[in-house]
Amino acid sequence: MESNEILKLVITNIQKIVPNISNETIDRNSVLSPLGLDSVGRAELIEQTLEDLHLQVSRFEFHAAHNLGELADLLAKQFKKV
Amino acid sequence: MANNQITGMGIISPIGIGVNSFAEGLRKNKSNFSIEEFNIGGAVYKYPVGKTENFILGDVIADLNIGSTIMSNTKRLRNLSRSSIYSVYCALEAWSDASFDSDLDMSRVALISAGSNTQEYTKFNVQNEYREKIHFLNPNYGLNFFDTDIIGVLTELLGIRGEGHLIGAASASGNMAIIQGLRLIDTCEYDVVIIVAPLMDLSIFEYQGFTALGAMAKLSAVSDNADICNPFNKDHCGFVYGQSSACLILESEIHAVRRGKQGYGSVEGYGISMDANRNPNPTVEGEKRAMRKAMSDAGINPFDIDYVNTHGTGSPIGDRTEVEAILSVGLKGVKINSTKSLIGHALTAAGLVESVASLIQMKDSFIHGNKNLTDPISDALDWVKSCNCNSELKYILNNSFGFGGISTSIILKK
Repeated sequence: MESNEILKLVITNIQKIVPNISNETIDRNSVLSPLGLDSVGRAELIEQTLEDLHLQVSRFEFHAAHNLGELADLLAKQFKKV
Repeated sequence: MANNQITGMGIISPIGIGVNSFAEGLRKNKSNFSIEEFNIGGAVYKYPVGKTENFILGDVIADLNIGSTIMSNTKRLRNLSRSSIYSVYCALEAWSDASFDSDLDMSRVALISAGSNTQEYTKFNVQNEYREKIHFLNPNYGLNFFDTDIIGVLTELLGIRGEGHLIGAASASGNMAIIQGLRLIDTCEYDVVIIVAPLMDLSIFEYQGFTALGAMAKLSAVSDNADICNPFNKDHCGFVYGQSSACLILESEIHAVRRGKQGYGSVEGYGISMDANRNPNPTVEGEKRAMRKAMSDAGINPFDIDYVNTHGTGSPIGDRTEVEAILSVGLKGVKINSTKSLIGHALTAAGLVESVASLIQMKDSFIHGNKNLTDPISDALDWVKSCNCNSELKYILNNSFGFGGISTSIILKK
């Protein structure tokens, strides 16, 4: 699965975690905090997306992502390894 | 004389959601007993339950006077157990009822939650869902498995800056939380204490644990579910769990008077006693001590008590012990009932739920009937069998007892 497809999955999960969020406000450059995801919400987003991708990897490195694009890239990199 | 007033109430029960609906249910002697069914490993397990139905938080808060910010933040709440969702409603109903001014000093507001291990149903479901994929466990579990989650939720919603914690005392938790609230008001540390009792939400393990102990009524004992809960009747056969949650707001007398708020009544005294006994069996001595201490603390005599809201679960040993204790403290002939005969046993929430029931009866001058009481275990008490609609109640004694030898009694005054 490529980064752009994973980004779509990440955005879908954000919409589950932050109800009523507008689709247009989210893209590759979006940052999680302004979207309304606190630390628990960010952990939930990563856990849900990993489950959707059936990925069992360390969660630690995903903290390095500065925006959704970088998060999707990191997830895509892990996805290619398996 | 007490220096407190109860200025807000909220409740969810099997016979009504909200104080007005619950009051109507009490007056009409309503009940709603049915069967809770679990299918585990191909086997079906059935237990009696007083069931609360048709509760959707977003719908029922619509009429509350809580302001647009609290309203919208409540609608955004996620990842809460059913236990916590029930208590959010009760706390908001009580908050709306108390109608505080906007300049309330939130550093002088405290929050106490009654009961521990109240979220077992939700925890069981989450654990079952993730049993085969624990590595993907929803991280919210690490936050909300604590019973203190409700403390965080409510202090954030209401902006409370004073202290917040739980009080656990088994089925006496509700009364014990009221007593702790009273202490916080008495020491002048706080102007307002919100006392909330979350739904004690049972999983199959607690249902079966109570059944294995012989404490919970068995469905096979009756042919009609409506007859299953019969405290103080000669054929009583154990308690029936009931899904309830409640909240009381306790306010210092000075604070309430200053803002011109008339309360429902006051907590005039309390008594606590331990039996030095780990087991579930109660003792006459322990219950007697709690009731005597409460009356002494309130500065009243047994003849001042107009009505006793009993612990009255339907447990044969529990009912017999309580009747003997009530008679031994000089309350022969007192008007008496069990709210559990209508709504079942709310366990950790029972003391708070039954205090709300007592205050409603005090305010509206009636005593609700004791359902399924056709052949009482004693003739020495004035059992209220159907609604006694003209009863002026000045002093009420409310009993709550818990496993582990815990006895509590409180006196409510109009």
